[in-house]
Amino acid sequence: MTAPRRVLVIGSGPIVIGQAAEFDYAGVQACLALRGEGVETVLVNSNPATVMTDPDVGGTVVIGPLTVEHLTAVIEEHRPDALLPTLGGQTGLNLAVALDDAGVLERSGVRVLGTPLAAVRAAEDRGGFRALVTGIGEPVPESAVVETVEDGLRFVEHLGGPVVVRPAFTLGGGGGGFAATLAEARERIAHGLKASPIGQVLVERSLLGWYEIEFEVLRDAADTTIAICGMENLDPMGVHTGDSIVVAPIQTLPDPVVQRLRRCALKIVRVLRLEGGCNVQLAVRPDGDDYRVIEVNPRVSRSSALASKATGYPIARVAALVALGKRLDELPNPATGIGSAAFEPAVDYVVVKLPRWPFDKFPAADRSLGIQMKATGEAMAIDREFGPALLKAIRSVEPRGRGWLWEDPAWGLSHRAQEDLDAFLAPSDTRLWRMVALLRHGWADASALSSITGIAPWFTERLAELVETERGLVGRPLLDAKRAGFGDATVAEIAGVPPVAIRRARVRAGIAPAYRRVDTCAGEFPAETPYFYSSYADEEVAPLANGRSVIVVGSGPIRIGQGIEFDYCSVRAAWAIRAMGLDAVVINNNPETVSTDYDACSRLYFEPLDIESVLDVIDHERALTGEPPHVVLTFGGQTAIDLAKELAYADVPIAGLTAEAIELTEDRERFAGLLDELGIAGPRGQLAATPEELRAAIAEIGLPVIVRPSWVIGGRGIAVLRSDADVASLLATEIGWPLRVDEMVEGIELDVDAICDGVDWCVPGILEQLDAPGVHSGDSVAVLPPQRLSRHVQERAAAVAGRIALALGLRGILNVQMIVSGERVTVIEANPRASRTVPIVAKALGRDVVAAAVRCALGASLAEVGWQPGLAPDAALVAVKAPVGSLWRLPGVDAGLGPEMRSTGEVLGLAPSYPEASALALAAAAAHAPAAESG
Amino acid sequence: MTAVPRTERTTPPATERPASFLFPDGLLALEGGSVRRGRLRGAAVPAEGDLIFTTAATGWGEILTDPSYAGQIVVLTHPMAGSYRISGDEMESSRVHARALVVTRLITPPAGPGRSLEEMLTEAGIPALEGIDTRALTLELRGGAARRAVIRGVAADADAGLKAVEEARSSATWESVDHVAGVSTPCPWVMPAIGERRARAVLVDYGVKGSLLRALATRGLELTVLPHDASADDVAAAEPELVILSPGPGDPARMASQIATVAQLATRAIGGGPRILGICLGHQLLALAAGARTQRLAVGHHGGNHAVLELSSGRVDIGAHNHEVTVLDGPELIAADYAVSHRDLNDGTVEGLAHASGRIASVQFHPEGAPGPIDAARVFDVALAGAIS
Repeated sequence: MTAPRRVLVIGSGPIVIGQAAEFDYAGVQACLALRGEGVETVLVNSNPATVMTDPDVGGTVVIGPLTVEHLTAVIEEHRPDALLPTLGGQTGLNLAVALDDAGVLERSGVRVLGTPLAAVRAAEDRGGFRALVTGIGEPVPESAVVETVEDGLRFVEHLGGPVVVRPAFTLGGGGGGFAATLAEARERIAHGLKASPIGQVLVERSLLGWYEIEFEVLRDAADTTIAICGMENLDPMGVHTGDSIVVAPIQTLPDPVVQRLRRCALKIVRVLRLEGGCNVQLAVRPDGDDYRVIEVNPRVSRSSALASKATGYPIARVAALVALGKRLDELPNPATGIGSAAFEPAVDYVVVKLPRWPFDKFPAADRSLGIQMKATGEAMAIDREFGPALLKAIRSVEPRGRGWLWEDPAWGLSHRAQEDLDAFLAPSDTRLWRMVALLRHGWADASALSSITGIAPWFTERLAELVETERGLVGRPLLDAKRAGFGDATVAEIAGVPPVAIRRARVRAGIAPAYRRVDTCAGEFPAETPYFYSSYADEEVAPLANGRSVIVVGSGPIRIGQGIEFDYCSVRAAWAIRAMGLDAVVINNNPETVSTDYDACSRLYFEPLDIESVLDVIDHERALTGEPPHVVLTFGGQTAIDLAKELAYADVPIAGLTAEAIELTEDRERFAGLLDELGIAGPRGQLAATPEELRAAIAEIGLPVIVRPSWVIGGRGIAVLRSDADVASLLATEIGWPLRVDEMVEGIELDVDAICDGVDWCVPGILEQLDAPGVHSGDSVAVLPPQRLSRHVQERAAAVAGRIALALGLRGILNVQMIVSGERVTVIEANPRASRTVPIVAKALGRDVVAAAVRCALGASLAEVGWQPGLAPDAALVAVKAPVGSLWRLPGVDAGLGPEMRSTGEVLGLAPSYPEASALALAAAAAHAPAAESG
Repeated sequence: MTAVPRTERTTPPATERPASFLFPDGLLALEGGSVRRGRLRGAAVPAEGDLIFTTAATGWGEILTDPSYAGQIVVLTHPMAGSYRISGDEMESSRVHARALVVTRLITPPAGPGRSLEEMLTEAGIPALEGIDTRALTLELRGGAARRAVIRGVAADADAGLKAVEEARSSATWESVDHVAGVSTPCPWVMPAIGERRARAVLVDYGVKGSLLRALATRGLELTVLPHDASADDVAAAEPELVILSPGPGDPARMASQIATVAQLATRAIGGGPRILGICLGHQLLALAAGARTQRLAVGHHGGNHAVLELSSGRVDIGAHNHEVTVLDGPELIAADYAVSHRDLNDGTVEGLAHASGRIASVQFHPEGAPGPIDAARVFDVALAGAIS
């Protein structure tokens, strides 16, 4: 095969539930791999908050709608001679198929690289896939493809058991569901037919309670086929794998069963003639004697990102090279550098993935879990054994007060009848904690939990073991508690002492984790992968440090209000640090992301982002380099910033920032004082510590008012009160007093990002919100540069941000939200960190805003990083950002906009004029609206 | 020692010691002097042998009963061992051959049919040492540590570690022991073909695995299994269409009489006699019989994740590997009309040989898997097709 000259890569668009950062990771790896082979890339994506849409990654980058019309125009303009369709998730895959159907590819001479579209169609068309799989003697669940409700019900009656309805060509199981009765089946089938773009659903026998196993498989054109990783879902069939706790490698199945499943996966990938990565999902009867093939995703996926991070084997990068026609055995081993890429990773640790759900922001949502995915993100943890890995994963999802010991008093455990444990243990976001609580109080043993939940006894027995260890912790050597995996905070809570006392005891006794290398080969060969996890085990040979290290603290799992934009910032920060000749050290735990690619930094620590793990890494880096590392918190969203206070207690300086500055911006009373001192207007408001004070404040300020607690992320707990009824309904909820009550300032809301070197400041760009104040800025359509404000007013707004930055003594980046009415500029809030607008500003300007900010934070001046003080001149292009949500997936969530952020992602339109940019943004958003979701 | 602080409020009732708290009552000593402490599980008896590590994450039943592990103490790189119950189907021979197991964590599996790993160890009368950081140990072995080792209890001995190191140093080397004689069948026996009989074969048993016998029998081979010291005439007397030289334990270089027999068999095969398929030890004996040399690898291959390239077809297969020794690729092979047919893609090791006559083939890896993949099982089909033609 001759090498292509220019390859079109389609991204996956905005973050929605079921399609998150994993496709930025895949796209970045693919683009870098292709360009490393001397192939030009044309990258199309509507999501600006991605690393792939930077030109030094994506090559020719087109930020615009992911629609057939737009992609056709891109193909006509940029004349690629090939298309790589399997790296942009279901969105990218569907678009490639649509472009082919429309004849665009043939007409423009664009050939498809890697997995042929015929194979994609074969894998995606459920009827055809079933025939293919049964044709090679592999079992599938009994099923029927139907296009009418009547046909579906006839089949359900014939089966006489529970069924699952899966609409064809949808994402993350959208529109599907489980039905135990005929009535339920009728409803599900009707709904599914509507959700499927081709009006087709699969009705199949439910395998509820069987174990769910996944294999990530790679195949090249020479038919070399390897299984990179086998993964086991802790939650049995019936819970979407994206909502399931996932463990790798497979723990509970005997070797003959593992081998049988692996052979089945390889056989399917071979018969489909896939060239690239593929995910195969299998269901195994709990006794191991029978199995069914569930589905195949002929592309990289969330699972392949997880498998890549779990094993250290970069599936997407290798898949891209395979698509160019490379053979696996000819490619070098991506981890050891010697040998070939044709091997199956061996791991000498256990990986646990926990999903992160948006229910904390939407308490009214239906929290039950089923075959429709509800999680927005996930965290992964690695340790030598399952128990410590699980405990670390719990710390990594940042459950805010939901550590290992968390129990909800509302469960009423003590007076819960044995027989209603079934309902109590139905799949939900809190099932893990519920099981632990039952074990802890002796209300159920492991075998009872397994028989109720269908979870393999091996897992419930490990939980029981952890509870047993917890019970015996007090008085035992601290090292035992740490080896068992209990976090300092949990040990402290059990012992009734402050967490800092546990750390102090550890430091005194020299109890610290060792850092183990993820090397793909279980230690068999020397490897240089700069990828580490902590474990209370023997020290390993330390990696080489090249210079002083700078630690970039990442942002953890994706959630509403803290999305992929912080991964973009973390990655650009790491790259800028590396370009400065320093060691860029990243701590993060989100397996989907670019920042947890060990190629993106000098050393990657896959760890929880709590004070314990971050301080442990800081201590380890200090020992490694002989110098205290710089610590950068500004690019990891609120997760990273929340560490500032405790780092300050531990005498760890933060680059460009003080805990005091953070406190000043987050304590609304002190912030109001600061604004007063600077002569900058803030909203009129006061603090209310009781319902009476709240009513008094409202009486003085006048409705509407906006109320919020301090330390907010993504608008959590913020409310706009427009009427007395609103006040009453707020008071009916659980409130974290005191609240700040502010007047609702009417006007135009601006997002201003300032970079400051401690002496001078500059504002690279200002975003103007097109929605009224009161709509969360993350949910608002916004434009850069502002269209309704004079340059003069914009400069005033920029100066306000600059003055706040200087007053805070900041070096680095600051985000200020303000409202302009006429000439009056009112500051709403300031965040001394990168905000979600940073990637938008960077894309609109075509400049690396993060690099400038991180270099200033590390001591460079604005002049040195090439920025003029003041408000930067307008860019040639106008940028319009539009939010995209996926809350239609969450039953029980009101989709109306307000101060509580609801969107999961965003799209950008970039064009020479505002109307053009606006049209592009709206077209891009429309491509991901629920109705068009699957198209 | 720093302990978790005790407060009245949270002091729990006294419970028995949880499994994760290790009380070290055993140790592992290497001849190089390193000593690690752990907890003895299985049969609480001392053991000595050569330390090797396997990267297989499952398949403990197969590993322990594979005769090729005779004389070896097996280190499991995967930290969680014994997670499932082992069924009779997972036995590769009638007894356990490994000398001991070194693990990070030995799990008591959920109740059900089959035996737990620990029950298997206890019945076999061999110990496991639990609580060892097997990655650290693996890195030490990879770094070239000498491999003779001893596992024993610490009891009241103050200098148990030193003593154990001495014991390791004075123990017999792996190379010096005739392991094959200890595992081969003492007398000939016949395994009928499963299904229709398609050909007759002799399998010379240097330590064959049940899975290999099954893989051959299910392909229609009736197998006459002969002891390791069978002569070339003994083989011929069974009138085979194919001769299979089985895997087995130990250093092939010390097996002079078997090498001489294999040389005779090879000469006959080249001259039109029954074809030969050598597997693992059988492959090494063929190479030695051809005048080539073998050498112990710096790090043996044990696991199910290495890829092997078949040079003639360009096919790549993941396979099960279990060998400490490799055939050296040298002029002797060429002189004897052998070509390297398979190579390991990780370290270039010779993984297969083919004679120019087309009548002798051998592989170093295990096409029968167990534990591990059987992606290259066509090796058997090719041999059978040759025998029938």
